[in-house]
Order: sequence, then C-alpha cells, then structure tokens
Amino acid sequence: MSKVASPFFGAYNARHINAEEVARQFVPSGKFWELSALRNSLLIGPRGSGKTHLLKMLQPKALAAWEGNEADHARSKVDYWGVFTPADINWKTQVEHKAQTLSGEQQSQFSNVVFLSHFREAFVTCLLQLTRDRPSFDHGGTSTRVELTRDKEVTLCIALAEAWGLRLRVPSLDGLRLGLVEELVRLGMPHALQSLSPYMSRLTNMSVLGVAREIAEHFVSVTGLYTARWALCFDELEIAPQSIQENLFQYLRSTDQRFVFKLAISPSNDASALLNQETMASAGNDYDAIPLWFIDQREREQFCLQLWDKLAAGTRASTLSPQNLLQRSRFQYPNAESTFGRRRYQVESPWTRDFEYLSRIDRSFSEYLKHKGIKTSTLGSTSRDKMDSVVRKIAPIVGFRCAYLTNAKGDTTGTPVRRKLKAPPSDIFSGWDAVCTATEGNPRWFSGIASRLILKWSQSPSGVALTREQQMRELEASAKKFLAWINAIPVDKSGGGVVQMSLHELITAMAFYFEQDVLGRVFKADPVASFTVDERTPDEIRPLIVAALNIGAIVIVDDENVNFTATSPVGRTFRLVHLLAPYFNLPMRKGRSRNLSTILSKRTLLSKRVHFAQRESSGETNNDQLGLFS
Amino acid sequence: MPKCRVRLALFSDLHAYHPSPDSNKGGPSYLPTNPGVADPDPFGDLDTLIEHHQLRADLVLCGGDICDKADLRGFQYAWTRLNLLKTKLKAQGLIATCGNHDLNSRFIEAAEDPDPKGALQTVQPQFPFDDSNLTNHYWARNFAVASPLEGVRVVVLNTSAYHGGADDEHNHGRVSLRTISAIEKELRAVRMADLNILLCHHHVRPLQGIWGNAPDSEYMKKGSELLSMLTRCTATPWLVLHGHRHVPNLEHSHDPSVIIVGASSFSGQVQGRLNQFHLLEVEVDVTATQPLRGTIETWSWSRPSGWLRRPIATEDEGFPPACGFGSSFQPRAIVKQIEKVLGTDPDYIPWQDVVAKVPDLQFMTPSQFRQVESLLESININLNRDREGRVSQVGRAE
Repeated sequence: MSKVASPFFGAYNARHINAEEVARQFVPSGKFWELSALRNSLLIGPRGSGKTHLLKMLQPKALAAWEGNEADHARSKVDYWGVFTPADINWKTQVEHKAQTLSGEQQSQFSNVVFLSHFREAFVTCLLQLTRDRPSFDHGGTSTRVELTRDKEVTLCIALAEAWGLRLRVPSLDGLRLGLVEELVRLGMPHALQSLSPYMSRLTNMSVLGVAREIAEHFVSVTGLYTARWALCFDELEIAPQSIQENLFQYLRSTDQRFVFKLAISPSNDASALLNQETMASAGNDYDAIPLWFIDQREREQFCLQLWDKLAAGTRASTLSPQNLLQRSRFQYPNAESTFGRRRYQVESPWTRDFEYLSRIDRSFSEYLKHKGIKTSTLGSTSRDKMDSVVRKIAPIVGFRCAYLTNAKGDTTGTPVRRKLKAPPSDIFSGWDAVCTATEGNPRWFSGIASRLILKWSQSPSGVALTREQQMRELEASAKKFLAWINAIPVDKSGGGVVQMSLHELITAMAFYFEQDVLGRVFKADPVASFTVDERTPDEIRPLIVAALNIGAIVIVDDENVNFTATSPVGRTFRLVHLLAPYFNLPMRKGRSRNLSTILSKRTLLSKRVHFAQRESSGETNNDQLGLFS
Repeated sequence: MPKCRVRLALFSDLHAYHPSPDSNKGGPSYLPTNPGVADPDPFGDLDTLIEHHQLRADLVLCGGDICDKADLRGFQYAWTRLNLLKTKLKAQGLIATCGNHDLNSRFIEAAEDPDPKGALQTVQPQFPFDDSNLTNHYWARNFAVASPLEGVRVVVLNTSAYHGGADDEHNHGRVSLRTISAIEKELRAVRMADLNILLCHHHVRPLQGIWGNAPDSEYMKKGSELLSMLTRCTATPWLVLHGHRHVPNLEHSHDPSVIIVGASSFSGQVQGRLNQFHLLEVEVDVTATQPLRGTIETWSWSRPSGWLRRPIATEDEGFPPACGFGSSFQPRAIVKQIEKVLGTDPDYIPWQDVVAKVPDLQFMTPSQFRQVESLLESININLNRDREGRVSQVGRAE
C-alpha cells in the first residue's frame, strides 16, 4: 500500500488547499468538536474521510479565517495553537530513494532527520500564521494571533538559526523557513549524504518533542507567553519513519502540559501495530480515538446537508433544499405519495403496490407473508407488532426485489426472473437520502458527487428537479470510477499462497454473493450483506481486507467497543461501501453477516466471478435472469 | 508629479483556433473557440481574475497574432473576447494590430480568391478600429494614428503589410521608408501628446536568435529608422509595444529614447514559455530626469490554476510578476540606498517599506534588478520572495 493511483475524487483533497480555503470549505461535524478538545487524539479514517481537513482546521490561520457562530465557538474553545505537519507519499518515496545508498541504520537516521526538519518548517509556518501570515478577513482575535514586533522576530530567528546551525540569510520567520527549505534542497545535491551539513548533523540526535520544545522555549523567551500550548498535528502518520511513529505514539502518554498530539492514520496499517504494543498509550485513557465514519444516520444526513449548502452557495441551487432538488429517496424514507406511519401502507399506496406485486410474482414471498399472517390486501391494518417486526423491516427489500424482478412469461410456478434492465433502477439509486447513504458521509465523495449534481441541475433547462435517471447515472458513474481506482491500487502479494486474487476480484466476489442473496429465487427477509473475517479466511486474503478498509472500499460494521487500529481484520465484521451498490445491484443496507471463508468457498461463485468480469469487459448490461442461481 | 499616468493592459499572440472535429492532435494554443467545460479557457479564467482583483485599465492593447494560421473563426472568437475584455476592464479603448498569423499570406484554402487581409476586413466588431476612417487608413497606408485618451497618441503599425508578396516576406516584419515618411508627416500635423506609443507586431530591432546561435531575422526591417524618426519628430521618449516572439523583451535606450516592451504570448503553446498578460502603469513627466517610466505587473496562466502571479525560473520563461522601466539610478546607486535604509545591524525590512524610501526600485528592469540582487548578496544583504515570486523582505542576518 505504499504506492497508489491518482486518488478518487482527488480534486476535493484538502492537502492541496491553503488555510483560508480550508476554512471556507469547512463543515464541522461532531468529530471536529471531539478533536478540538485539549486532549491527545487519534483520528482514524480511510482516504477521503476528512482527516487532513480536520487537522488543518486547527491551524491559527484557518481558525482565524473561519466565519460564523460555530467558528466563534471554536475559537473560544481552542486554547492552543495547531502545528500542522503534512505528509506526502511522494515525499516519502523521494527520501527513500535518496537514502538507498546508505546502510540500514544510516537510512533510518537520514529519514528521521529529514522528517524533523520538515516538522521544524511546519512549526515555523505556525509561527508565521500567528504573527504575520494572516487571512484576508481576520476573525481570529487574540486567540489565534500574537503580536510580535520586528526586533523580537529578528531576535527569535537569529537565536533559532544559531541553535540549529542553520544559515540564515534574512532574519525573519520567512527567512527562517526559506533556510529550512534550502537545507532540504541541499540534500538533493551530489555527495550531500557523505557529509551532512552542520544543521543536519545536529538534528541526528533529536526527537519530535525535543524539536518542539526548543522552538516553543525560544518563542516564549521572546514573547513572554509562558502559558502557550501547542497541538502538534501529524497527518498520514503511516508515511512517517517508523521511529517517528514510535516516538509520537509514546508521546500520547506525555505529561508535558505544553503539548497535545493530534495524529491521523488509516484504519489498519503497520503504524497501528506499533500502537497496539503493550507499552504504548491506550484509547480512552491516554487519547481519544475518533473514527471518521458515521454510525448515526441522522448525524450523517445533517453533515451532508451542511456540505450541500456550502457547495450550493452562490449557485442557483442555493434557493432549493437538496430534498426538493433531488427529491426524497423512494426506499429510504417516505416520499410525497407515501407519508410515514400506517398511511404509508394504505390501499394503493406505492408500498402496498410493491407488496402486492411481489407476492404475485414471487411464491417464496407470498408464502413468507402467509407464514407471518400478513395479508397484502389489508397491509395498512396489520397489527402494530407485526408492522414493526415484519412489514417495516422487510419493506425496503420488497421494494428492492420489485425493482429488479418480474415474472417469466407463462410462468405458473411463481419463480421470478430478473428484469431486463439497461441500468440500475433509478427508483432505488436516486434521491437525497440515497446520495447521503451512497457517499457514507465521506466529505470527498459527497462533494464530488453533489457538485456534479448541482452542475447538472444548473445546466438543465427545466430548473425544477434533477430526474431520478440523471441521479442514478451519476451514482453509477461514481461507483464505476471508484472500482476503476480500486483496480489500479497495488496490493502487496509477497506472501504468496494458494488463493491469488486482486482486491477488485475479492470485492466483486463478495458483491456477487450478496447480490445472489438479496435477488435470489427465494425471498429472504434479512439477506446477507456483510462479512466476518473468520479464522478460516486464507492468509493471503487478509492484506486485501486491510487494503480495502484503508481506501474505504469496506467499512467496519461492528464499530462499537472495538480497537479501531487493530492490524488484523480477523474476527471483525465489514460491509461493502454503499457507493458500490448501484454497480453491483445491492441494497444500501447492512444486512446479515456471513463468514468470509464461507463466501469464498463457493466454487460456483468464483466461476461466476469470472463470468462477471467477462460480462463487464463485453459491455453487457446486468440483466441476467435467475437461472444464474442454479 | 507626473504629468500623465495611464494604465495599459497588454495582450499579444493569442493564436486562437477553431478545433477540427476530425483531428485528435492538440491545438496550437490554449485558446480554442467557444471552449467547453473540459477545454482550456484563459479568457474565462481572466474574467474570474478581473472580478476577484477588481482589475482596471485605461486602454487594452493587443500586439497581434490574434488567431493562428489565418483561422478566421479563431480570429472572430478572440476579437470578440478582446472587445468584451475592454468592457470588463472598464477601459476606454481597445487598440490592436494584426500579426503575421492573422493574415492569409500563404493563401491557405484561398487559391481562387487570394486576399491576405480580406477576411479581417469582414469581422465584427470592425478590426482594428470602430472608426471606419482609421480602419481604412490602417489597411490602405499600413498604419493609423489614434488618440484614444486625452494626451495619449498611439501609432498602430501593420508590420505584416507586405506578407503575401515576395516569397520570404512572411518570415519577417517590415516598415517601408514611405510609411515612415507618412507617419512623420502625420505626427508633425497633430498636437504633441504627453505619451506616445508605437503598437506593432514584430520587434523593431534584432534580438537574440530563438534557435541556437542563429541570428534573429524576423525583426521589422527598417525598424531602427522608424524609431529614430519617431523620437526625432516628437522630441519625447516613445513606448514601443510589440509581440511576435513569445519571449519577454524589455529594452531601455536613451538614444533613440525608447522603452520597448515585448509581450509574452497570452495563450500560444510554446515549451518553456509562460502564457502571460501584462498591466503597465505608465508615468510621463517630460521635465523629469527620466520622462517615461512605469511598472509592469504580470500574470501567468496555467490550466489547473488559471491566472496567477508566479515566479519565473529563467528570464526566457516570461516576465517576473513585478518589474518596471525608467529608473533614474543605476544598480550600484540603488544598492547604496538600500544599504542606508537597512542600517548595519542584523535586521530585515518589509519590501514595501524599502520601496517607499527607494521608489526607483519599482522602475528597474528585470536585468537591472538581477544586478541589484547580486550586488546586495555580495555585502550579505538578501531578499526574500513570497509564493508569487514578488520580493517581500530585504535583510541581513550578520
């Protein structure tokens, strides 16, 4: 997982935007308020889940640029200054490449030195933001700003440069930062590694905390701000050198009152293994673990709504709510025709029509209803108990099967067949709720899809609502794009093993299994839509699961009281991300779970997987009949 | 106090083209007609920049090669956009000349009806002037003398007027002695202006050759004679604006007294060259040591970022984000003044404070400024630049 293709919806990556733009685009979820507490925090989330954006918002300039009531609240609450240290896979690759001529220990030393210098630059950037690099519209007040006279700045910079052995050309914070950049550039020159500069040599015996203390103490001695506190924020920690990771995880138990640590990592990786060592800090005690995925649907919808408002601001779409522009989703919540409660199941209501239709074409369903004592003709009069425990529970699956299944010509057995569909049913994959659910509240995915929907709506001549068909096409296109990206991600297969599978093949195999369960010939009230990685899951499959988790192709289902940073996926339950649902014809539900070894052991299934791939490459649409399940 | 101050927006070498539906090849420039969402759109990005920075100009000037290879649809598109630009910049006039690419001098698809300049005479709005008399004069006499603003005179010269004639004529520019005489006659007949501008496509004097060590052969023949006549006739310095080379050119000479600004290409695709446009703030005071001086702000375009001020890696790449012309002092004198401002202790000073005390700094050409920087370094005084490549601080650490 060290090299990846161009990221999915990468244009919405906060890495590329400056502090003011970060603030302009920011929508605070509950996660931000957790993060902003004066405690050590560990942000855990796959790509695109907003880790970088959240950390960048703790920078003084971003906080100062942020507008609105929530911003005022944040500024009054955050009583530290955030030092944001970015990481970049390309940067790591360059450092490793440069160090490859060195011995093992020297390599490690070299990587550390480069990282520490990089951290110094981040710290100086923070000092600049506190003093002179202010936003155009500065809402910051004293909490994000320090008055530093020029003579004090000169004193500070000369003192730091002397302490570091850095050649300083202009004694200003800008000059200091430039000096640090020049040191890194110098490392790229021939023979630079054979004789390290005095600056680099002095760094070899330092640690992250040592570097931070040195700067903080010099700053305090010049400004007299003895109560100053700093949040040291490290993004994509898994890219940092291992010894730095070890240092930072140990610091989570640090008692130095001047510093809190805010670390961001992917859900499962080598860094997680370090964190799980016994000597390391523990979640809840030493730090807050903040997973960046939504458990609460309402919270997710609220977050998506705020994001939508940001994206729509300044466009014609800002005058309409997304529920009006996209309509409600047919199978998520009541639409205009079928309001909530019992009326939803009145005679001739869409839901009742679905129940009646499915019971007509699907004998297994009519037998299920009979067994449960439910009559479609009097659905609205079903007892409250049965309404809650049966009707409402199965309604989305009933609607889903209705959209995909029909009766075969001349069939008298009540065995449904698949409709000949040219595309995923737009009734299912459209509407505001479907967009929120499909994107999982992932800010990058949501912004990517919502921006396109807003653009399409703005360009539509009617200007009323986007058709369900248009929305479905966008969701389907995003699913395809995501799958293409997954296909381009290299996964370490050095372990060998019997089962050779790509990540794309694994996801396709699981999706195919789930599809069969929900659209099979026999109606199931609670079809399988999740999987548990059991002990019998082949070893070579496990890294694929970890990779899928880190890129957001699967999400953890059993997300209560779990160790989010466990390195092994065994014993844990996941589901495919709903973004892929339109492509694989899956309902956007959690569903029942099945052991992954069971899913993968179906030989017929694996052959179908191949069939799937062939169908894909031949450009056929997914309109096969139920004969597939024989 | 300067007698006259004018803000000029300078564009050149747009090379607009109409994309062929059959061709998979990239276009000659980043300026396809009627760009779609996925196409480059420097004019669209410029609208954004103008709105964001509230850019304004008194005059919009264009140095020719508005289209590529006599592509009439390209010309019509870019000419329309230039006219819109005049409105957006709230300018009082748009003045343009044609370049070698604008004329159908090689009779592309016109064998039965050869007319190199004919197509340009059909575009709307009328090219190059709204005024039909000036337009007819331009086409008939190869130049026109316009007075777009009070105290400002612009000689608009067609240096491609003879293209379509002799075989190798289209390989260079030309102004004939007859045309020079005609211009002189006309200038002598009108009231003296505060600011005199020559707008032409080809460069007036040979420059360094573009290809290897080969000498420059594309310059305007008889250009030097033209410059001599202009300065002799008006007894004032002239501002010469040209295009054609796609390489920035800033010359300052005392005799003839001219400042020559060769614009970068707005949207032509040339490897190693930035696409740029320039805003010139020109000051004229005929009683001053340097009667003509000014600053040049330059924006560079790239596809993902639009128009930005950006640093240049080499002088051939384009103009720096800020430079000027007409400094009264030579580099060594300027360095002395900076040294005095900075003092002898370790310190730094924001650049705007230095410029306030040494105003001539803003009127230094890129070449002069490099000399200043080098001299400062030799005495341990250094400059910091911001992300946009503009000098932000000057200081000494020892």
